[in-house]
Amino acid sequence: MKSSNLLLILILNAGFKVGGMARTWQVGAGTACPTIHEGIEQANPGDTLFIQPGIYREGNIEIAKKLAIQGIDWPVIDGENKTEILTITVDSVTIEGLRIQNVGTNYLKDQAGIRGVRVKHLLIRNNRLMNTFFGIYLEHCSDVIVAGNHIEGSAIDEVSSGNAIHAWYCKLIQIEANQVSGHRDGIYFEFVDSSQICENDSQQNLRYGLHFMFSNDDDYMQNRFELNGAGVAVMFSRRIVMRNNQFIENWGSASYGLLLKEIYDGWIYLNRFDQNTIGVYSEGSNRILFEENIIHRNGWGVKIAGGCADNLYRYNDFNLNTFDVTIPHNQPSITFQYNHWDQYQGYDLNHDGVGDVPFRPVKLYGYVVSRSPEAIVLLRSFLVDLLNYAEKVNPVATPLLVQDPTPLMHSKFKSPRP
Amino acid sequence: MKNCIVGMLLCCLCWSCRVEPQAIPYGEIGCAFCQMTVVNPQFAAELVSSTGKVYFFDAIECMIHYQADHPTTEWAFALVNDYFNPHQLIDAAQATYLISSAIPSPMGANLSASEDQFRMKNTAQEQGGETYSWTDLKIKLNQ
Repeated sequence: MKSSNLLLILILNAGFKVGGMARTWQVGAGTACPTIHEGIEQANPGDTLFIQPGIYREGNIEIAKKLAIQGIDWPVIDGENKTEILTITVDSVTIEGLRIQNVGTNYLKDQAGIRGVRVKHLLIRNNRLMNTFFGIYLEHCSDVIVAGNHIEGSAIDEVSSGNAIHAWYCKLIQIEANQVSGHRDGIYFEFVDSSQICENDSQQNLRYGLHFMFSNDDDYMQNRFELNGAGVAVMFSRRIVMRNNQFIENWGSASYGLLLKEIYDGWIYLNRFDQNTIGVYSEGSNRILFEENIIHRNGWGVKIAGGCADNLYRYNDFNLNTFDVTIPHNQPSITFQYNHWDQYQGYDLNHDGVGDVPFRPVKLYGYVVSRSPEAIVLLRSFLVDLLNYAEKVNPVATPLLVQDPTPLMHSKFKSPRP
Repeated sequence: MKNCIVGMLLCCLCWSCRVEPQAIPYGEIGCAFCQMTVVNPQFAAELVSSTGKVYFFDAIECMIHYQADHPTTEWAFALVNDYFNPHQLIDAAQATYLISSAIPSPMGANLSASEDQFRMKNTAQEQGGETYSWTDLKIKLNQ
C-alpha cells in the first residue's frame, strides 16, 4: 500500500512538472519571498516552495493550495507557544524537511504542529517536531502518509499534553518509521479504518504508546513500544492484526504491555512481551487468535478478565513470568494448545516433543492474588509454594478446565537476554 | 497513653467512614468502567457510593454506563468536570450537557458538561449539537 501511495504522489507531482506548469520558489531572508506566507501567496497550485534555513515566526500558516513545501537544512518554523503552526486544507500537499516547534497549548482547541483537515493524498515526511502540543493531527483525511518524522514532546503531566500522531475519522493512513516520545499517547487512532502502522518507535509517552479506539481493519507491525506509562491499548475495535511488535518495560500499577478491551476477531502473533507488569490484559475480547508470541519476564503473562470468548492461545512461549496466566473462573471457550511453559514439570515418554500430562497454568496463589491483591506480599514465600503444590496435587479452587493438554517440551525461541 | 490510643482508633474509624469526593488522581488510575487511564480534566467524572467508595471515570459516558450496570448501588455523589473550567468538579444533576461532534470526548459519545447553561446553549448553536439535562441525558445514553 505504501509504495502504491508513494507512486501516486510521484505521478501527480511529475504530471505537473511535465506539463510545464510547476515552478519552484525560494523562500527566506534575501529572496523575493522572505516569509512562507508570501511564498504561498505567490505560488500557483503544483509549485514547490524551498524554505531556506532560518527561523520563521509567522503564527498559523494555512496551506490552501496544492503545494510541496520542502525545507533546506531544517528551517525552523516557530509557533512561539501561541498558535497552531501548519493547517492544511487542500488535497495533495507535501510537507518535508521542516523543523516545527513551540505550538501553543489550549484546552478548548487541540492545536497541532501539522494539521490536515478533510484532505486526501497528504504526505508528511522527515520532519522534526519539538514541543508540540499535538504533533500531527489528521481529521477526516484519507490516503495520507506520515513517515520518518521525529516528534518529541515535553509533556510532564498527562493533562497538559496532546498526542504525537492523532488520527480521527480517517481511512487509508500509513504511519511509518516515525519516532514519537513525550506525549500523552504516541499514536492515537479514533474511528480510523483500513490503515497501517509500521516500524515506529514509540516510547516514554505518558499514557499509551499506541491507542486504538473504535477503529476497524487496521494492522500494526514491527513497532517498538517501550517505557510508556501504560503500554498499548486496543479498544472497541474489530479485525486488528498485531504482528512482530515489541512491548517492553511498561511498569506501573495500571500498566500493561497490551490492553485488549472489547476486541473482535483480532490476530496477535509473533510479538514479544518483555518486562511488563501485565503482559497482556484481555477483557471482553472475542474470537482472538494469539499465537507464536514470546511472553517473558512479566509480572502477569496473560491476565484474562470477564467477557472473553473463543480465544485460542497456541505456540506461545511463557518464560520467567511470576504468573503465567490468570483467569477468574472457568471459561471453556478459552483454549490453550502447544504452548511452551517454563514452569511445566511433566514428561514426554514417546519423545514427540509434546508433554504427556496437561499443564495447568493458573496457580492457586495467582487466583488468590487476583481476588485480593494485598496477598502479593506473600510472593515467593514457603507458604505460597506449599499452597501451590497442594493445589497442583488436588485441585480445588483453580479452574480445572483451564489447561494446556499439549504443552511443548522445548522452547523454539532463544532465551531472552540475561 | 490509653486515651491517646483510643483517640487514634476513633480517628481511624471516623476517617474511613467519611463519604466525600476525592480529587481525581489524573494519570495514575484506570477508569472503573473502561480501564483507560484517566487523563483529561475536561471530561473525567467521579462517583462516590453511599458507603464512601470512590470510582473514577475518564468520561461522563463511562460513569453513566457504570451506574446503569449497578442499579442497586446508592450514590452519594455524582460529579463531572466543567468543560470550560477543567479540574472544576460539579454536581452531575446540576450540569447542562452537550452532545456535539465538534467536541469529541474520550469514549466517543461527544459528550461534555458545564454548569454554565447559557454558554453550553451558545456553543450548541455555534458548533452544532444538542443540550440535555442530567435526566434526559441518562435516558438518551441508556436507550
